[in-house]
Amino acid sequence: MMAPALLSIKDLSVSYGNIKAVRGISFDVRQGQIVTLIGGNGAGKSSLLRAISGMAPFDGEIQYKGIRLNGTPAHKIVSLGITHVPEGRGIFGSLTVKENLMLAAWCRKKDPEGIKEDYNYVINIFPRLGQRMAQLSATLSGGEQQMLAIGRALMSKGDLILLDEPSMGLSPVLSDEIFRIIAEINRAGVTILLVEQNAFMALQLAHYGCVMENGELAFEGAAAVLLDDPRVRRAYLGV
Amino acid sequence: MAYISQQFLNMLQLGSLYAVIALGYTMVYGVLSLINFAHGDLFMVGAFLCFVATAKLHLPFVPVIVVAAFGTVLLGVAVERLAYRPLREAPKVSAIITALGVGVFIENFTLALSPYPRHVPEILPNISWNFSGLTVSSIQVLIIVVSVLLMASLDFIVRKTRFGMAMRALACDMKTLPLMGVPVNTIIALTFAIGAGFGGVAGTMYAMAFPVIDPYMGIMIGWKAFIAAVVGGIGNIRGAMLGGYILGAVETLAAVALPSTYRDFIAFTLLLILLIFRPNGILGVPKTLKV
Repeated sequence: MMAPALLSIKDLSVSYGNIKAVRGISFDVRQGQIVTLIGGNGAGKSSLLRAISGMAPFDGEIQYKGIRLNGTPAHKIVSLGITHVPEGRGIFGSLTVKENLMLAAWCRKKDPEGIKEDYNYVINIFPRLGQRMAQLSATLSGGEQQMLAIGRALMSKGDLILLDEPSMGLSPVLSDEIFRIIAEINRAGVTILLVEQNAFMALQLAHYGCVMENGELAFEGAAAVLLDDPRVRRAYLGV
Repeated sequence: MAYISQQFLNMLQLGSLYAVIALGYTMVYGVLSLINFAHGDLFMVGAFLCFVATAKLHLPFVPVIVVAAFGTVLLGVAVERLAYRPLREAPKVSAIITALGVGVFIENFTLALSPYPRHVPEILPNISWNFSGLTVSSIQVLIIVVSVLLMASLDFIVRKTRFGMAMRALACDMKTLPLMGVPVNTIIALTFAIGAGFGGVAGTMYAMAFPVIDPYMGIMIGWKAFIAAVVGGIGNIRGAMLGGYILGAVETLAAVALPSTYRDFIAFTLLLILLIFRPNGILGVPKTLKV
């Protein structure tokens, strides 16, 4: 039996002026899964994530846990349980590492116990951040900043995390590390929608994959199936 | 010795006023990269509210401060909501022109209501103490103490509270902040509220020390406070405080050494020279490009 759809996207379009970045996409993200969106530059992957998190106006419909998100401001969407780790990480460089984490727990004012628990959880999975809590986050390396960005998402305690290119600019070793942690977070019950350029890694990690081309959904399917799909292999896996 | 102490006291009084007003410029610039040219006029409105509260309503000191602060907070928040927010995505030049326009609007609105300079009645009895030649007035003490309290609480808020953290994050990256669940509009409105309230309290204290007020009084003081903010490093809270006291010191010393008409000329010359060597201000750092 399939898990129910946590996020349901129907006929979604995103436009910037005359440019249509996303054209009439529909798909579901099921509870507990890792779904990856792959596709080349400018395929509209980031725009799709921005629409879900309330950062870009859109046409069509987005439903999360049965709630219609149309017109909901970004900061309210966070409190509904969707956390967006943006492309480029969006670290607040003039704040300390700890302040970055605490800021992400903004909506959980009434849950100091839970915040403490998750703070310890973040230190546990990212020991390198634990040693740098009092440091300004601008002084972190790229890998550490990505860890902080994911750590922040954990502090927001979303049921759905949108990850935009978490491996960007990282060495293969660090990318592996980040992907290992994404799998761990998913095992803890968090649903993940992952946008990646590295299609091979993403499909190995994910349960389900959607391939975007020119703002449209080209095809979708179980990740294991897509890994063997000749169209995917030719276009994205370089084989 | 008494003479030097006297001048030092004058410096502290003037510098405190500049510093408190400069904070309004620097906070708004910090979060929006907008120079709120209407801020000097909020200071003026604070002085006029002080006049209304004392001369018309005959209120005692504490309610006078509350009326002035509350009124300027409302005005500051309204200006942000009605004039600046619709232009948040617009080119910076348009926003700056709007800020200048709002300033001229407030001046002329006040002029329409009160075409003549007003004399603010005494709110607190002005007591003077004499310490072997050094004269200390109660208003001087009040201005310095209230200013230092305001600055210390703001510094605490910005460094230690949730709101302060959000404000610093907003200055760093406005686009990402909503993704943390932080309501950006609320943080911006609160920032304007605090800046405007400080301006209003400064206006009240100024009116107590220099009781003749007119609708254009905010222009020159506003410019000076703005320059103090730039000298300290605009966008930097402690920089604005430092810049305020530096400007107060330079002006006081210039008036001691030279005819008083030279005061602004000397002060501004020194500040221009300082900016040649420290273009980002004393505590400012060059803004790095965000990747």
